[in-house]
Amino acid sequence: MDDATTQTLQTPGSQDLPTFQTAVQQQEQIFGPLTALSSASGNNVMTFTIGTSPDNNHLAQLAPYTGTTPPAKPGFAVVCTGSCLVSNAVQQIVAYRATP
Amino acid sequence: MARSRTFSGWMMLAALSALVGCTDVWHGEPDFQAGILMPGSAATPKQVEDSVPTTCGTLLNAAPSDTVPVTERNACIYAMMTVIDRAYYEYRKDLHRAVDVGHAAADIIGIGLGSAGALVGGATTKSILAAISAGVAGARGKIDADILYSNSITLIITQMDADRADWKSRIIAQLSDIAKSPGYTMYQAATDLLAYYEAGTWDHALVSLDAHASANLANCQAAVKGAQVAGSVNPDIACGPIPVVTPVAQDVQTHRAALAAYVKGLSASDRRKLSNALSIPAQSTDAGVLKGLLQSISAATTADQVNALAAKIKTLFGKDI
Repeated sequence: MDDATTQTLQTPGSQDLPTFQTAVQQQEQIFGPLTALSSASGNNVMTFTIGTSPDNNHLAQLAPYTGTTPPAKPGFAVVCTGSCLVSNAVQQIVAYRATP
Repeated sequence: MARSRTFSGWMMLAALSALVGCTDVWHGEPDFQAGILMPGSAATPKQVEDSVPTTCGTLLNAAPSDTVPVTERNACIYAMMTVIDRAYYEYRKDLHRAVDVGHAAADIIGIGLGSAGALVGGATTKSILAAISAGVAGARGKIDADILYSNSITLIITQMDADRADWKSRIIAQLSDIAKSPGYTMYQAATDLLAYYEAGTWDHALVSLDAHASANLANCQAAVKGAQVAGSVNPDIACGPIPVVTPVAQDVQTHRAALAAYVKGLSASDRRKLSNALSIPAQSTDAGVLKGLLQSISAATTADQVNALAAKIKTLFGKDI
């Protein structure tokens, strides 16, 4: 449920990955850290926890992956994964965040 | 006893199969015989497709408590997924072909949108279906039914793809998880496979498309329930469509980020003052007030809109941002 501590937003599933990532990062700078990704009705659905925004070096970075678990990325932690739309095609997407 | 438990356990699947068993693509489902996911009996041996290992029949007849060999179980599950995938891709191809040909009226009658419309509750899908129905009736009016039809089907196919990917990853996760895998029975697998199949059906996609509208409805219902219990509506619970955002120009974003950081640092009373000045609907908690302010910042997508917010802050608090 979208209560006062979280914000859910959608962004078009027609966007390419860099544009999708920019949409996520810009909203992180306003609301706070990204916590979930999914897709519905042709859009990507993003959930943010309202609070302190990550600084520019710690904004979420999106990457596609295949298989059951996203690959580990040195110096980064997995924030969330989701079945998303990239250029209108379904892809498994992982969001990483740089660890301090 | 174990066998009777097995039988009763499969009754639900049998009931489901009556809903999903279908061979005509235009009835909204891939041509997949859900019966292969159910156990047979000595009297009525189950027909197993050539591509599905014959041991699957035995595994499907095992009682829930029976331990089945993991390798054989996995082989069965992957084989059945392949059968479902094959049926789905044929179905998907036919749907795409219908989009390419694009004669809405006749095809829609075959798909049976009238009954599908009854399944969904959200305004968006309902309006699409209502508009399409208008096309079926022959009164195309100002709406080009073919374009609407094409877009709607593409959207539905995309939703099917997304839901299938979700179920596939869940099933594979069950097989790959060292801790969970040994306890993943053929019962659970068959149920998950049925859900995987169902995710690729027309009706499921329509319901899924409305999931977020339904989530909003649930929020609205929660707000109403809260009102009934507490005597007042909690305005902090979102109850409306999910906003759609796209990236803005970098200079606008830099300004928005600075405004958001400033608002987050304000005291509760100053936030409420700013919220009132911006005519944001009253919120009962400071968290709700903050959320409303951040939503206003997020909704400001041009330099003029962001400057207007900054001007309010300058007027109220004398702060230049």
